[in-house]
Amino acid sequence: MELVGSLEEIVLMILLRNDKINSVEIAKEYYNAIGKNLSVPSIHVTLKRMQKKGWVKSEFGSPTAERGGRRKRIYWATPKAYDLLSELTKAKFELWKGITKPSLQYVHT
Amino acid sequence: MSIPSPPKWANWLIEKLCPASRLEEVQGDLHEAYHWRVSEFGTTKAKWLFVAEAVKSSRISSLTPFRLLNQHLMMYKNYFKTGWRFLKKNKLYSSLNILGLAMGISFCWLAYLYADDEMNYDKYLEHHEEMYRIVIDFKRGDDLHHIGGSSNAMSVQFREKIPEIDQVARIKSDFGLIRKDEEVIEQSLIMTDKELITLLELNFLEGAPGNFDQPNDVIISETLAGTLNLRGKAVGKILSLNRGEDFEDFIIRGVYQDIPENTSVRRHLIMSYSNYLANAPERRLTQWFDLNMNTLIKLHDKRTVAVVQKKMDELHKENEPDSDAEVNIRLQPMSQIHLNQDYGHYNGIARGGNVDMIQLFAGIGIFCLIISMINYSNFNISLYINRSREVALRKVIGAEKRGIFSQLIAESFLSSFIAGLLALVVLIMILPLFSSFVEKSYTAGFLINLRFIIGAIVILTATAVISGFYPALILSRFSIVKSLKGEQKISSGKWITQTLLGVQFILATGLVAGMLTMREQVKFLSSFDTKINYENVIYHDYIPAEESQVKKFMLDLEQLPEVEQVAAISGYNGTRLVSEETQFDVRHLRIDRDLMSLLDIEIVDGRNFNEEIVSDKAQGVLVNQAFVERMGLADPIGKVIPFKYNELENPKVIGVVEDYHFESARNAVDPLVIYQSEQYPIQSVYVKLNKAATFNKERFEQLWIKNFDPFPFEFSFLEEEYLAAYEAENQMMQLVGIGCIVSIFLAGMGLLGIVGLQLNQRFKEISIRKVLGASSVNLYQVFTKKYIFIVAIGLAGGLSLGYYMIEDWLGNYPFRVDFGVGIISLTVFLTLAIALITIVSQVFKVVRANPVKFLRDE
Repeated sequence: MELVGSLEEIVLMILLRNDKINSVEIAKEYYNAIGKNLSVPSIHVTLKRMQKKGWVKSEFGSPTAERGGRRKRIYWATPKAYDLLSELTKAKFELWKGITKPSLQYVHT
Repeated sequence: MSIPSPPKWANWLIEKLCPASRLEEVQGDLHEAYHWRVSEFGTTKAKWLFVAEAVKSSRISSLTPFRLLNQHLMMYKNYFKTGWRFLKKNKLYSSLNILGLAMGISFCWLAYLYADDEMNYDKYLEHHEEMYRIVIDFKRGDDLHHIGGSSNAMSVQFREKIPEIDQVARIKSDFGLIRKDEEVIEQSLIMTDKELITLLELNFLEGAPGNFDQPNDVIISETLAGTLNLRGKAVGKILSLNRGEDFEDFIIRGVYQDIPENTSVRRHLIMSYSNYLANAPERRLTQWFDLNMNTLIKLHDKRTVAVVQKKMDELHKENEPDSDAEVNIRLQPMSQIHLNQDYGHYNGIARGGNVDMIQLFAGIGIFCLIISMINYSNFNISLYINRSREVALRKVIGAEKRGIFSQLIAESFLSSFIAGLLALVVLIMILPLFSSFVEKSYTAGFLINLRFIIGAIVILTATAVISGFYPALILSRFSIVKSLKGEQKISSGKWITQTLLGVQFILATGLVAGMLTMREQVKFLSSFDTKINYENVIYHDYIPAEESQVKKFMLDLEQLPEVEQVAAISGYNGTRLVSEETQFDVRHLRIDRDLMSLLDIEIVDGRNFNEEIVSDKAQGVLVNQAFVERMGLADPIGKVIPFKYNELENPKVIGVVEDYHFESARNAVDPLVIYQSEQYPIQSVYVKLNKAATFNKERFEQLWIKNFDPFPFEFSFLEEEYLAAYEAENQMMQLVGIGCIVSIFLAGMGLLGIVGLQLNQRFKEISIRKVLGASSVNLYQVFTKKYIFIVAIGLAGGLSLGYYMIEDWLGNYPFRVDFGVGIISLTVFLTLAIALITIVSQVFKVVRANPVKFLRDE
């Protein structure tokens, strides 16, 4: 299984939940889900990297007014990314199952 | 709702510094994000984030000057890429090519490393230009002797009477055993003045030498401190040292950092000179011409050398007014000590360098580099012919001649860079082997030195430029139309490639001939009849004990069942025989017991020493044939000869021994006088073993310990001792052997490339010949003939080159092989065989190919 970085994983999940979205929309969804601000350039870098690995594809979308008339680049995940992520998630779930009954050391005092 | 626009300057920053290909997306996204954040977090935070993200999106490489540079770089990137793909496509040829270059380069680097190290001995010393060793040119009659030594009396007078001299350091070497717990460690040492410590710039890690004027003052190196487990706590400790009789106590005053290996005076144990002053007999200290030590001096100003030498000569005349010899006291510059063989390297001076070896190394290194560079050029031309279409296409698209040229040069740099890396790997791998071969301790750390790195870069760049230049020049001038049609042939360069090929073979043949001759010579020397029978003879060399003790040891040995016979000698010393008619140098030897029968040395005239004739011991001598000849004695037996050594004067010849080789067969046999009179202590013992009994080393060792404890037990078989004398020749032979293999390999590869190239252009011709019915024998003949011609010229040239070099070398040996038919035919056979195999393998490929394949496209 190819290694997936944690930021890559979250961005991929966001892409899989949506149809075709651009970086800012990813940042918004990230903010809504995690509650933290993710900078746009770091999303750019992540997307570019994942595109090289073949997990993500992109094309130019339509221009909008709030972009000053510039076209947006929209991204979507590939089947390969879906397989990879579902496998990874299953594996993580299996791991988590072993922690269902937390021992005393994890109890907040 | 209208919202304030994001900061203009940040927007400008993105426009300038964001890669053009991504500008639209990035700028758009940042604006969109700004709008969203204004509504979510407010204007201030949105603005702040906008600026931060603008900076994050900027890439310094997008600045205008960089962007322009990038276009050039892009072109080169493209060149490298096509170059790399081309290399990958022609894996076999290019790996051969690069490997060859790497071999040439690493060999040349090794040679450089060695030569650089050897030639820079002592030059790191700050005052090396003002430092000199006192040496003596001694001339009597026609004989000129160079003596690398001086006396205590000289040093003292020079120091007092010549004001130009700044510092004087006397160096007297000695040897001793250090006691460490139960064991003893052999250690050579020097006794010297405190001045030497300054002159050699010793760095003290612990303690300090202080005045260094007490007979029991010593300083030791960090290595010796480590061996004695005294690191960090050595100062003030007692060092127990035995120099012949009893253990004496010395006080360690300091520990110095190891003296660098490229220093002529280099010991791990240094003792105060006052120890020598306290123990040496008066005569040794006051006699003017008792040359038994070395003296280093430092002048105030190096321009006064001539003046100082003149003053020294004057002082010599004052001290030795009656001497009939012509003596010149000279100053040998410190930096010349290592490589100058004339004055020798003893009395505290480290073993000297071998100029022959350096030249041989440098020669072979440069040979190999030249061959591999020629190869590389030839290979490139041969490969580039396949690329004439690519080049033509580039030209059609608009590449200029200059562009093509720089492309090919860039590729040349690429592969020479790869070759350089490979060479570095090879170098690091063979460095340990190499350094044990030349008895140095080179480590990879040696390569990290500015001069070496610059040297390496120069070699690499030169290789790239030279080997890339010619193909680049040719290829950039190709006609476009012809190339595209596939008709372009390299004809202009043909004679160049063929000449280069010839040169390669000249060099390779010369080396092969050299190696074969050396091998013959070493074989000849090792099996040379020295007229000594050293079968079953054991040899104890330089026993460090009194004569009486050695004699006791001999008596003990005779009790052993396996010992057949025992004899002892003094060692072969030299003196000068002077009579009214003639004078010459003779060697003399004191023996005890019957050495002649022990070593089966034949007495050709007269008789051996006889125990029962009393006068034999006092006045009888044996001489060798060389002596008889030199003296011009018609009937030597019974003659009184004008030989004098100590108290032995005018002895009588009782017999003549055959000219046996007491030294290696490398030299002719010197005139020799053998006596039993006790003029010189016996030092070495020969033991002849009984063939029937088995040799028991433990029993020998017990006897040794009984007599000579604590000195370690040592012995060698005489035969091995004789063979060891040819170590230098063996080493040279190995070196030439390696050079020979490398150069033949490289030359073979060059031939492969050229034949491949020229045949590739003639596929069609060959195919037509075949279609018309040429037999393969016929084809082989036609296509092999031309190359054999070149190889033959190379052979002829190489043999004559080899002949001159080898005759020069063999001239050093009175007993030698000849550069004759055997060697010549073997050289021719070897070279021709390799060349033929290479050529035929290429021709085979073409001859066996299907002619249809090459004729179809017409």
